[in-house]
Amino acid sequence: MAERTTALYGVADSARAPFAPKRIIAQVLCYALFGLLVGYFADSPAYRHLAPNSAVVKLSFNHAGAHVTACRRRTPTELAALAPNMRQLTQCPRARVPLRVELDLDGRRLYAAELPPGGLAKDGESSVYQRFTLPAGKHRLVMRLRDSRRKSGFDYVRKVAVDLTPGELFVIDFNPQAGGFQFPAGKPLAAVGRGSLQPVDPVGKNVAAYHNAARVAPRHGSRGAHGHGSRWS
Amino acid sequence: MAMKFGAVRRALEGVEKGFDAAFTPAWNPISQLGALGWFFYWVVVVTGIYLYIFFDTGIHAAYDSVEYLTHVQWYAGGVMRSLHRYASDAMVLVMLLHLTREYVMGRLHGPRWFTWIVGIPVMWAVFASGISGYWLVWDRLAQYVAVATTEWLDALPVFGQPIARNFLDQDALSGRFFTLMIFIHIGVPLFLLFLMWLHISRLTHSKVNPPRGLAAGSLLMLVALALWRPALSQGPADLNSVPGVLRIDWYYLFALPAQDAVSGAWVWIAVAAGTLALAVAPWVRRGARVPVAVVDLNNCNGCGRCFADCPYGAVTLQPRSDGSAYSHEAVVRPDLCAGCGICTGACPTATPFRRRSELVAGIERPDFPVRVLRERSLEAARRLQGEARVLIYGCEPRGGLAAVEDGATAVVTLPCIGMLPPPFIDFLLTRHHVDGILLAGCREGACFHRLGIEWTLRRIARERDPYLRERVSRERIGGAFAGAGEVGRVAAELAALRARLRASGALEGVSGRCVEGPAAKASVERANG
Repeated sequence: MAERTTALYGVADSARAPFAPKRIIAQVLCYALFGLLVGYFADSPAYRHLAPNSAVVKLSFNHAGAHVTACRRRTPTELAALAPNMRQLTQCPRARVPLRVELDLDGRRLYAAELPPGGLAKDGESSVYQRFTLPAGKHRLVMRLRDSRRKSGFDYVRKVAVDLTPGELFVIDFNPQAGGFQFPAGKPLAAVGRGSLQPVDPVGKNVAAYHNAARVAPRHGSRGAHGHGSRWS
Repeated sequence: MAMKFGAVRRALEGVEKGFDAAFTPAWNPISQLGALGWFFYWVVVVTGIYLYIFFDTGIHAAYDSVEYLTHVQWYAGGVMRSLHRYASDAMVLVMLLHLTREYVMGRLHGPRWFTWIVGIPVMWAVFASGISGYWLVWDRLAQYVAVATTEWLDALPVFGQPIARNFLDQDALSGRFFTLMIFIHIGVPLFLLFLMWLHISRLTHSKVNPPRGLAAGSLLMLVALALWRPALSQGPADLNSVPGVLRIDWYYLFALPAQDAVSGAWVWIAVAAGTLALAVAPWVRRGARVPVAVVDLNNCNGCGRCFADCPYGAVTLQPRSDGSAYSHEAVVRPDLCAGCGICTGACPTATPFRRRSELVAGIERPDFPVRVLRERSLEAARRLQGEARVLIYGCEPRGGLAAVEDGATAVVTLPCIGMLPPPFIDFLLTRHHVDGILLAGCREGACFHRLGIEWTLRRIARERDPYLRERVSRERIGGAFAGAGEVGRVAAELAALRARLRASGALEGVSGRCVEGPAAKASVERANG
């Protein structure tokens, strides 16, 4: 749009004089104010994400529970009723049981939940992602997981003592092939002086039932978890 | 269209008035917020292309390449990085100001709903572009943004497994992650460009470039800021620890601390509620539907002036449908018409000099045809007494002109000042119905219907059809384009106009006045003593 060449009396004759000295000073001030506004909130005020002398524990894993019912052999009558290309000897239901997971910190229940299987057919992995902020220092953690069809007790239990430094992230993962609960960040901790991890009572499968304390609210909900936990800080 | 937020609007106009004084109306940044948004977008694009040349996609390479740009190549790459950040921040700032201003000014109802609604995904895309950019630096802030954003996304029941697990530990992350992120950081802004185009697609004569002086000043400001406070990284990311204190960009990342304070689900609810509120706003308290313009084919020769001047693209030219010798005819799309009447102001048949046939313009609002405009103008002129009779043409969005009416001053209100056909000025002055005419519209640069003031000034300046004839003395015309609360400005321009009338001798020889109507005749007799 071209500049107007002729002004109407009373209409913004100033439009033709943006470089008047007073205007230049005022414009510089306006630009400076705008720049300050942009520049300040671009990185200020500082945000404290984690309180001093705090550390974070994350409990997160994907794991599939056992099938709700065991596979069974079809009877000859059942096989005969099926189309020839569908005649598989075993019938395995897809649905899986929910996982029962518990996490205790220093003898206090930090998290407890029923993790439903994923997928519309309830045949997927159960997932959990929980973040807990807690004071740095020495703690005892107890993790329990039930992934079988049993009604009580746990299939995996692990107890560890940790000495968390301020700002440290301690991750609790789960891998049944590696023996159960894992600590991905655990190994390098001692090497970099971030803390020390001491497995106190590593326990394999089929451990007897632990106490079933009251549930507390989780900080971050797991995928459809039927549990509760609370932030520790 | 009823104006809302009277006090807020007047406060905003007060601010704009201050910027008018500093920048002049043509360079006023408040009336150029949309264009400034486009300008900052292009600054971000250009600087982003430069940064992309040197950026490496790898867990350590990403951070190292940004550090190289910042510290080794500080004179170019560092400045570019800072410009990239600050222009992005400035874009958010002007975008939010633009949104607020348009809302306060009521520019979201009627046919403007489409522009308003498309503005919502524009905002989403701007935030998505900015947030994805912060991942690429892969410093402590990027680590926080990555974890917090994925945790926030995990609050939605969409993903089968928590995507925040991708950042559980350093080993879980692959260098290819940055390839994906840079694809997102380029793809989303490209989509944003499409949305920005869509945002203005229903408006004609959209301003996508601010005045050069304003653009130059804004760029200089950004460069000065980049040199004074260069954008810096906050140490390499370490997924084995949690950052304690972060210097976060509040323009883009405000939702993440909010998530820490409440929960991701609540932030989603707040975002959804805000989006919903914005989405329904055009249909809330919108006032009565304004009658749309209609075309009278007997008076339309398909000249295309209404098509060229319509701010909303509501008028199109189509092949003649009535068998006339003219090739085209104007056609109004009712769903796009805001009823501003600017098309009537552009129509060459809207001339009050027509006496032999009924005065009907080729295009006009049925509830306010030019015949009624002439009647109201003449009726107002007949009421005037005194030596310097002034008729004020005001606009509805501006309002507040009753305070300046007196025996020698009358007001005729139009939907928009751009609805006034220039021949009306010629008619009223050369026929001596009035001695002077004052045009009192919205603030210059803040025309409610976008182009009414611009077209009016150009028509008077004989730069845009239909021209005001040269024979009309410009000294007898004044302008008072000011906010609704600036009655004093109108009074001052009115006084200045009367002073010009007296000084120019326009009031002399009043015996030659047209003597239409008894009041005008009496006025001539009074003037002749």
